Amino acid sequence: MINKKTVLAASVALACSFPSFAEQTFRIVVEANNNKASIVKSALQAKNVKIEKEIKSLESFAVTINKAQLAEIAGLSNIKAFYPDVPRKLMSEEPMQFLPYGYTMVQADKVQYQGGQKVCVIDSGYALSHPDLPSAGVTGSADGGAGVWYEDPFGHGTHVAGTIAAIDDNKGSAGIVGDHSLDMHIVRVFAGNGSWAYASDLAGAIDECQQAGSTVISMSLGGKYSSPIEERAINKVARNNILMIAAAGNSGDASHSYPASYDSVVSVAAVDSVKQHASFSQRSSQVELSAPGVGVFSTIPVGKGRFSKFSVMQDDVNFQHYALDGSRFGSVTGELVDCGRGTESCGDVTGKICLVERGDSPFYSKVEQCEADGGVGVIIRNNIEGQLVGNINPTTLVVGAVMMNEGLHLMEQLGQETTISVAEFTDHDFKSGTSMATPHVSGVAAVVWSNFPECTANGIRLALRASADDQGEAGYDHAYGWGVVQAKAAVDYISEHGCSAPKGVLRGGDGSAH
Amino acid sequence: MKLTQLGLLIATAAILSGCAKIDARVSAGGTLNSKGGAGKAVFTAHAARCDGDVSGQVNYKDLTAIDWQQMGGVAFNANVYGAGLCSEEPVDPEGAESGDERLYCKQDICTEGMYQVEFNYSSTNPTAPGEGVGFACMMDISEGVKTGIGANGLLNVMLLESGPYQGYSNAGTISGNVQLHDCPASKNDNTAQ
Repeated sequence: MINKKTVLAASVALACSFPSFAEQTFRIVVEANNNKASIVKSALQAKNVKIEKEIKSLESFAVTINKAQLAEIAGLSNIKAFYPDVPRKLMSEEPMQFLPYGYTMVQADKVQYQGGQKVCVIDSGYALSHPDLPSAGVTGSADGGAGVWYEDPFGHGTHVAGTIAAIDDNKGSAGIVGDHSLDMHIVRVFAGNGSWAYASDLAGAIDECQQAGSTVISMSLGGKYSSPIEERAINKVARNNILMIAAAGNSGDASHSYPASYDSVVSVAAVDSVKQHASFSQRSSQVELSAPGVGVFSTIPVGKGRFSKFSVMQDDVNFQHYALDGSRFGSVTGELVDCGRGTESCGDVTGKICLVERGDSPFYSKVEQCEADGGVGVIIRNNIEGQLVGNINPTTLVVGAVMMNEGLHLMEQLGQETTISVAEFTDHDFKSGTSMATPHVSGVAAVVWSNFPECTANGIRLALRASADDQGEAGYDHAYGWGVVQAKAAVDYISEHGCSAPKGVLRGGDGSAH
Repeated sequence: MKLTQLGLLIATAAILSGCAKIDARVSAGGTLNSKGGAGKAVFTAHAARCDGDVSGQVNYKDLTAIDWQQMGGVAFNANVYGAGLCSEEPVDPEGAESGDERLYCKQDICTEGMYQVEFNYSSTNPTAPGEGVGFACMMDISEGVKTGIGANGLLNVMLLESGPYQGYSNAGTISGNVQLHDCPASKNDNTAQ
């Protein structure tokens, strides 16, 4: 006969993703036989098992044990059953807002949109029913074969649109224009899986944007071949005073991508949260501006968000990633302290936030060490490239991870008051790509133009170049173009210098490329 | 079950195989975008595979290629040693007859309808002397129609695999033309007098 306790132990192991380390603790429920709760309780205490909760009416205990103790409990008498105390969490959006780092990086917080612009988004559709996206003032083109514009099974277009116009209401995210006042037109050219559209689709879509009265066209898409019909459509629209913005491409090499590399289109490269050029972002002589494109937080179709989200805020810091599974939800604020790799006590860090480097010990151990030292939250900083996703034992601390360059940045910010937060956000997620950088420029262009409606598209384009936050090599370079787009600086530039510009097609990139 | 196994077998064969090259000639010439740079790359190619005989030349210049500008850009002349129109017929490279790479096109790179050439190149840039090998795939998309804009062909890929420009690659729409031709009757027609 199969031992019932062996089966139970196996189920615990499966359900808990059984710990790899003998000392790692986890939480289980122990049910006593009828009228034997007091005997079981004594037995548990005798074995130094930590009883987290006693439910007398059910003659049960929630206990925290390690792998070795599990074997001991399995041998106890008077136990009816034991099984994982599985976590539960809220299934609705948290009443919390993560302000995307790009929002402040492009100075969207410093310039008010004045109305009168319409941004056309050519993409995979738009989740019109999304609670964090505007519906009034949003129109779309008829289904051209890819599907209706007001749905977005793929989610790409909804993310792009959220960066431009997510509602700033202390919940979810916030777009460059977050007050419902920006008109948008949606043209869907990508079907459900988001895989392909053709140059002719794009040529038609650009024409539809113009017919809808758009002033800015945002194209988070591209391909390696130029197309005569696409270029004709784009040049025609450019002559009609419409500003076009497109993604520089994600192949990470030095190569052109179209439509971004047509002269009439502003090619946008991607930077990360510390303004470093994204490794995937293509370099070319047509790259004109940069914008946030790594781990961008924005809207996705309702219910499709993955994992919990984590943010780190200081005066000049706004980092956002996935939380470590097991963190508690909510926010804590405290002084940031360096706790090395968290393998030993960091001293008394009561009320503080531990900054811990990855390595040498498991994540749960680093968290438990910080908790034992009195900390209220943990930031694990990665020490290799890439995003860190992991899990820990359920904890009362707020815990998340940041990327390597962000961690190094935080090491220079020790002692500062820091707020870290974890929330669910089932209707929002992170995406990376020059696709995500593009709508930052589109939104900023609309904001700047709304302040100077007398300017032409070329005038706005030249002002965005001249006022960009220069990064990389001094002046223009192929990775960043003229730099990171800046809304306030562009407004100031036009106020001082005006926005006169030549008619006709401008050369892209540094102004000489074609 | 047998159908599944057959499907797997076909899939495996497809993975191992490139398309067979068949006899045809190509003449191509024009400009395309530089490898990320501001200028244009200039490309000419004349190649033939007729009755199994291969001949041809490739000339190429991309003086503004990003990452290669410091050395004066990419410039070379090349002799073609492998050529052919990629057919719809797969060839098993492990097969006895097709052990020679010159008989099949690059899997998943040069696909049906493209013309593939392999070449030995010699740099014409004195600051980057040397020799190496590379290949290119091109496609005739004009079908004899002059668009007025000049896009009559695609360079699907140009990749230099060794020599001073090892790692250079480019692709783009050719302003100029790529034209495929049948081999002369006297070469391929066994009944020709």
